[in-house]
Amino acid sequence: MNRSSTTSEDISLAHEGFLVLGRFRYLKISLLLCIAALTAYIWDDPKGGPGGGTTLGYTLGTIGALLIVWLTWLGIRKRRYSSNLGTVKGWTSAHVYLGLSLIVIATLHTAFQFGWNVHTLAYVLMCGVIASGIYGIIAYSSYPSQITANRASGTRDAWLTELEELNEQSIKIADSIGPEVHKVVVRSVESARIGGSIREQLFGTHLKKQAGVFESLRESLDTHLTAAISAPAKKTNLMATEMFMAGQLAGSERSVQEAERIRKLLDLLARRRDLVARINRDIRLQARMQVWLYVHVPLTLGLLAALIAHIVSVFLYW
Amino acid sequence: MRVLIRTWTREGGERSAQDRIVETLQLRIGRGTDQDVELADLRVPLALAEIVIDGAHGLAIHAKGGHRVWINDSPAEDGRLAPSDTIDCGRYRLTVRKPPQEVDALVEIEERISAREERSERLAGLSTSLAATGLSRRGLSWLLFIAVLLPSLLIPAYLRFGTALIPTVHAAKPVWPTDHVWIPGPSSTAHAFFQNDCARCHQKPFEQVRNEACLDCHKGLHHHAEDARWASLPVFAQAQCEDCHEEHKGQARLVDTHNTLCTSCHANPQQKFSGIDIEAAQDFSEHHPTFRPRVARYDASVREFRFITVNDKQPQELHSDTNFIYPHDVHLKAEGIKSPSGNKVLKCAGCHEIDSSGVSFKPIDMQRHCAECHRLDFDPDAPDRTVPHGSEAQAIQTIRDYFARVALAGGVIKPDAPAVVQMIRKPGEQLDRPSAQIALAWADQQADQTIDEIFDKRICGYCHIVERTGDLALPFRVTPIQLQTRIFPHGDFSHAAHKQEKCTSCHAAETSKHSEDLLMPELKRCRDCHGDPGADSKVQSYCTECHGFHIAPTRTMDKSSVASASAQPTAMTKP
Repeated sequence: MNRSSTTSEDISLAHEGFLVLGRFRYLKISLLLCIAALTAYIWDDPKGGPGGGTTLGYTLGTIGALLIVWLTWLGIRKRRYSSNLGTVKGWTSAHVYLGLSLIVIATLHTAFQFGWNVHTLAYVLMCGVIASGIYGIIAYSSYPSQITANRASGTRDAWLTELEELNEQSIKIADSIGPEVHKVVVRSVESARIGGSIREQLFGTHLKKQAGVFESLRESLDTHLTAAISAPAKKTNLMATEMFMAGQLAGSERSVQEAERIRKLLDLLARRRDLVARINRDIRLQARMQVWLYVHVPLTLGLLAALIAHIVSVFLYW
Repeated sequence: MRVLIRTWTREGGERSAQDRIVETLQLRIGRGTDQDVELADLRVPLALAEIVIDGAHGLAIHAKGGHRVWINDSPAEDGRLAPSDTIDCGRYRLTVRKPPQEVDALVEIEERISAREERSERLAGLSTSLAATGLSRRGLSWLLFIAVLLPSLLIPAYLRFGTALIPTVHAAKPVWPTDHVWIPGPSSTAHAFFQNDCARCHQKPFEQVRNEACLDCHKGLHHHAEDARWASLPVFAQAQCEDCHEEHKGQARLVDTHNTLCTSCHANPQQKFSGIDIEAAQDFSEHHPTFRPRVARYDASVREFRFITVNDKQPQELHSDTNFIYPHDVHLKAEGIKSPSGNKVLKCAGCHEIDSSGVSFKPIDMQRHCAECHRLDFDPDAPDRTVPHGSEAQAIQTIRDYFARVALAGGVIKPDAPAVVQMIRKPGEQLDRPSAQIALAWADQQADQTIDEIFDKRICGYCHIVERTGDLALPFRVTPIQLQTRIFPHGDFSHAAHKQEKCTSCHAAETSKHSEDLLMPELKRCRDCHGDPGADSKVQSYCTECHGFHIAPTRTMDKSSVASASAQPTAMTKP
């Protein structure tokens, strides 16, 4: 579970290679398997028509079940770095291609007979596992580079430390400007959200929430400040703080020293806003890259349960 | 207002308090150095709030300048304070206590957490990964594993094998997932009504459905082989109903029509049934025996028909005795045939009506099909008087009674009849004995003449073969007839399915002069339209379209019937 922070590096290296490993060795093996299964299915003309209970049906079912169990074991195997049985990349390649071949093997095993029963449940769960796996392939092929690009240099921990420092400095400078500014900045700092719930992490819904927080903040400020904030409705409170500060700067008749402080505060707040956005983007990319595992792994266990029920019930009522 | 302010500090794990008393109208709270309670937290505004006396002994807090305070963990601008109430301002917590006698209020102040601790706590509290939201792959996995396994296997298995609940569960629509979730496909219509009662057929777990389960309902089902020697062979003794009848594949497949089911034996019957007298049938289009019709032969010595099987290698044998004189060609003349109501064009279906099986025909009926033209009247002077059909004795008796009656009644207009017969009787007049004898003698003579005529020539003999018996009481006998037999007892040709085809396109009835003609087409006529499964230019036809499996005349499928077949096939003579 705590791979989340380490996998991105592994994956960004691995995604270059696991699909093309050994000149598509596992792609070729999987294609051969699918072609063999298809040929046999077309050629086979069992009495009673095709089905899961014919000789070919049992054969395809056995191959499919063994593949599912093996692929599940591969999922465990990939985490055992101590093992020297092949490389992680090799197993990943095998997992992906043989997993995809299950679409053909298992569909032919069903002979296109579906119903509201445990047998079709197993098939549907398998399709869910494969679909989430396909998302995983796409995620592992596209997010690592985006994550790397977003990070440029530095790590999330360093950013968070920097953010804390920026917050403190902003409040300090705001305090030296005046209580109204202090109040606005403190509220802005307190309402800035990092990460959040699953939905917030995946879709950045907290940004909209922050905009909502800002709206209420602005309304209470309106009575005090005639230098109106002409921020568009969808701006974040960080943006709004800057707009407000700009207003302060323009309308200020204070000393040059104070103007300098306000300018510094503006600079700090802009950096802070960028930092928060970058951290949230990092969180979002990481979440989107890994969310499929929270579907893929549980569905796999669901599939194993359905597979047990499928096999036991078939032979129980032979 | 006298306020006792108790400030708690922590040093090296030791917690100590420092008291001071403030005399003020409002207890001012804020970061400013001019405040009564000075809170050294950058986030706290210079002047945050004031605590004032409210009522006789109570306190109230008012936030200033639009700020808010957290009273008992809820944000508020104003609020009344009671002992034990807390006010959180940044890192500091103010707690209102019950004041001692000498003061109006007691407020305790404590820094809840240091600035550094607060920062690390805040960082630790951030939810920056999916795992941090409480989402657990392991937890979800187990949850789904159990959530799937329970309703799909464990609950159905428990209800089926662990309790006696199943009948009750099935009585109503099952709410619980019972073993009906294991049904792999729709049951045939015939079995659908008990398809949720799996144990009706699946009587033993991990064992294929046994034949007995089927035969519990399908009692008296006929076997394939009548001969005990064949029935006892493993191919039958170990056969499963399931071999041909696959359930849970929908209605269409309850009877497996796959040809290999038949050809596995019939392609080379000698291999499995040494010495059996049947021809090999590998497929329909090329390797199928020619027709072997079952035909009738009349044995005059016992006046009975017996049946033999002939084939096209003996063309002279390809006829079936009927003892009936019926030229199809005359009746099917295109221009029609004379009838009492004028010229009549007859159609095959006028006499041959398909019965409910669709395979055979309803019996030919003299009254319905023949009598309109082939009238049974015997006296030209009384065309309405007819002899009954079907019984020689009754016909003869009817004729004799008729002539006796007209002779005694008198008034017969026949020039060669005696005067007493011609004479018209007065009402109530009775013939004297000699006259009556004359009349009855005439009647007997007329009857004999008529019987002779209608049996031998005019009526019966027209269609039937009539024998003279030499017996005065019953001088003629009509030989039995055989109009309808199943020519192919092992083949069910559905005439109903071929209705759109002209009868004469297969049956050469229009040129047939004798009813003994078989009028059966050859196999190749079938092949004009029918081909093997997979044929692309002909109707794809399976063995089962013409042939049944359960065809043994008396042997049934139940075990006792098969068990009685104890003879060893090796010690057999040719059946």
